[in-house]
Amino acid sequence: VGVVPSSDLHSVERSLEQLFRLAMGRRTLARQSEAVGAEVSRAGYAVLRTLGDSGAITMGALARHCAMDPAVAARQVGSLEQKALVRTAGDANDGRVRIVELTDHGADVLSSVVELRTAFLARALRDWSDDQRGILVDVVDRLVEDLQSVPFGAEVTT
Amino acid sequence: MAEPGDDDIDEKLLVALQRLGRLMSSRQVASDISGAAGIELSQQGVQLLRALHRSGEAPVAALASASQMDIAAVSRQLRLLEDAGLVTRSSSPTDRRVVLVDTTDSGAQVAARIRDVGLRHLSESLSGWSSSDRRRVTDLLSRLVADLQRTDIRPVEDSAERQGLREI
Repeated sequence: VGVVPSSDLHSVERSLEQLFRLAMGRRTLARQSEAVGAEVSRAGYAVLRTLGDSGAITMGALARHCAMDPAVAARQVGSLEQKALVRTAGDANDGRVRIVELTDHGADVLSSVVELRTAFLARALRDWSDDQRGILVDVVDRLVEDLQSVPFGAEVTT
Repeated sequence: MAEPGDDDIDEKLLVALQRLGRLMSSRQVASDISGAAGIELSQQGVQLLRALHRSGEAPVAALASASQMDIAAVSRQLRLLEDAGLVTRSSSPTDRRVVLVDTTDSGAQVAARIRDVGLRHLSESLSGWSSSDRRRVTDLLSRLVADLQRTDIRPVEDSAERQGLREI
């Protein structure tokens, strides 16, 4: 295991924490809801995004993809269904299996959110060169992969 | 200013940041961290305990605002943390209506342990990086945060128009 200088560590950790707060904060979410004209929770967006990628899928698969408890996923789907953003139906082959998919309105809201966030990023990064942005993408991708591949150690020996 | 062709890279970055966000907010990671630190806490509980550990004694409202959570959620989490003996609540001596919250000794120890687990994990994740790559991620991420912080979230003009049509 290579030794990472603690100044680097603390800087990255601090940035990650700030990113997390920026992205997950309720101020951000409130602005976003206002801008796209639909009030959807953070977990709700995760459901919309997953459905946008997957198309119609079973409730079980949805919960797995979103890494949610089935009960939590069901509650999110119920709330999104009330807002007419998703619809559910029984599987034609097996009535006990529920299938979920985006409605047209849900797809619109999702693409508005993606559009809004992309435009936000573009504005935040307007002083960056294409090269710098490309490097940022590579660095973040690599960081995510490495963070995912390392298990959390059980004992800290300090 | 954004130029044609920029969209692609911005979308790639959005996907990359979303993956990062999903990873950091995943319940699995939260339970791995608290498991490794030897305590059972929700992700929000971990977040609050660490925020409090960093700030020291603070009014509940300030803590909620700093961690961008709503007061109801914060109060609920604080009750759980209090039951676990990790935080204490008291009313402010100068204004009885203000509730102050602070970590207990054992709460501070747990927060430090969680922090160590996170730092060690990060250190292992970055151990294969060259020092210039690490410098790069350090610089780019802090610049990114600074730029995001000073940018407002508002609809793009043309999509705002289309949005008006959709709002039925």
